[in-house]
Amino acid sequence: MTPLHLAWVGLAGLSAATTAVAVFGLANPWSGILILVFAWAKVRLILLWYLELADVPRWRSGILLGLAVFMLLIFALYLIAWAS
Amino acid sequence: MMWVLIFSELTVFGAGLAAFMAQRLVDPGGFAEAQRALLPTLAGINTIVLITSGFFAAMAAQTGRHVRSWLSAAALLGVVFLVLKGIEFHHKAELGITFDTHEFFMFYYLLTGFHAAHVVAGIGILAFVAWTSVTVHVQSGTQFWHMVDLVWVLLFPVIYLL
Repeated sequence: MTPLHLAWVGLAGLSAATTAVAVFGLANPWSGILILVFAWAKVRLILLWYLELADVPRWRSGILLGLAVFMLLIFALYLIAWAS
Repeated sequence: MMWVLIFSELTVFGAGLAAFMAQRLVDPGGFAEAQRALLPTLAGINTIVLITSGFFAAMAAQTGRHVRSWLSAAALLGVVFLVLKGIEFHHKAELGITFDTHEFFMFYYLLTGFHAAHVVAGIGILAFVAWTSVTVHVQSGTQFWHMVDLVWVLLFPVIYLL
């Protein structure tokens, strides 16, 4: 199996896990947190293996940092909504 | 050049999603109620459709073999995505849900509609690069398609599941 095949397996697995969390549900805010963590992992897989950033370390670091900042913003807004 | 387009598109969608989450703070109950009118199962199937389509496009770009077949398969799954999206929009129309029904649906139609427009453009681009089969074109076309894939992976959980 190539890294590309593994990336697809990972994406499919994370999508299935997302569905399982959404269907069976966990106490809030854990279901939302897990769903966002899975989405973050999926975006990383697409960036690294579909868009081949795994081969360009400097671009990879910058883009993954930008993604992390965005995801933390979404996490924060989700948790504020949950707490209010 | 394609990365400039990818960054600008990701910025637009990222700002839209952040605005959606911020607006949700004002009326969390209304947003939760509105979200119940969506069809998350259909959207979940569309996630599998797009990530598989992205895999086919990546196979075309990264292996350099059977390029037209891989790209055609990727584009075909793009059409499947649009058909399922059409069913979803039709369902909303039957319920009488429009832009004005609730702010949730304004964001829903704007973000998913704008994304669907990118899918339409992406299918056209995949068809064009499949026709030329020039390596640099294939690389750029598939990068655009992966951007469309990536945006959906973020849209789906934020709009349909949170």
